Amino acid sequence: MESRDGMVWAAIAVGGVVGAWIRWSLALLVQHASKNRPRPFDPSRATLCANILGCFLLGVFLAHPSLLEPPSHGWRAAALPAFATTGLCGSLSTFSTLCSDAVRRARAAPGRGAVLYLLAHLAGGPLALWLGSTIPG
Amino acid sequence: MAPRVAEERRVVEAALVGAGGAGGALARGAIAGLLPAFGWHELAATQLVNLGGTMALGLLVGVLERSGPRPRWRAFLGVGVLGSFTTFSTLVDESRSLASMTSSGVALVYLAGSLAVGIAGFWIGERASTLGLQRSSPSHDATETAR
Repeated sequence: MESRDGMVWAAIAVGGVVGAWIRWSLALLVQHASKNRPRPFDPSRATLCANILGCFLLGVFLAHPSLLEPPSHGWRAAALPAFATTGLCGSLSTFSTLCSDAVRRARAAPGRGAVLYLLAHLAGGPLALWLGSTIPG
Repeated sequence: MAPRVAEERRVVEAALVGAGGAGGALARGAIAGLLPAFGWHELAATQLVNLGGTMALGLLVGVLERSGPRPRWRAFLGVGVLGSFTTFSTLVDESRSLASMTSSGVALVYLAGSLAVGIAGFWIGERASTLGLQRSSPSHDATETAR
């Protein structure tokens, strides 16, 4: 691995911004879609979507490194992969919110809610990663 | 007027989420890059990041529970910094590598175990926040009476 220089760090930061924004937008979307419903959607659905999407994209990026080749000579070879994997996918997906969602679900309705949520992650994450890696590129 | 205020609030929150997201991703990238150089396994680096970030979120949630909602702090620290610092996709990818090295059963146990440890960590962080507030509760009571 080449040592990370300024451009690679900048790429991770930009990917982090984009990933966090997408994850936050998904949360706002779920909130908005709940507006005129008698029972609002659980906000944890947005976290699940972000995590599944993050795994899917990571599968795509890892299986198709040619997508992330430097666009021109001035670019560091590691910049785009760092943007896409460590930055974007790492930041779009989250572990801390997933755990807090599971705890909140367990408290709101003791029973299946939290278990189903965790199972959706356990099954959905690896499945999405695999699906992402199978798409032709 | 009200929609405009709501819009401005959202713009501020978006900036905070973005700034926090950059910081969280950089910190995770630094730890993932540094720890293996000190002989740490990359799995351990991800676990450290996820557990540390989840305990910190527990602490934050516990504190915000008592302080009342602070949307900006939630946006910056909860959604931005800690949301980005911790990662699910890397954890899943590492489980996949584990599956190819060992078996899918081991990988699944690893993933499920990580979730269990994370949930325990969140709970510990939340408990820790109440301990801190109980210690400082006399002054808290004093301000309540003063009001």
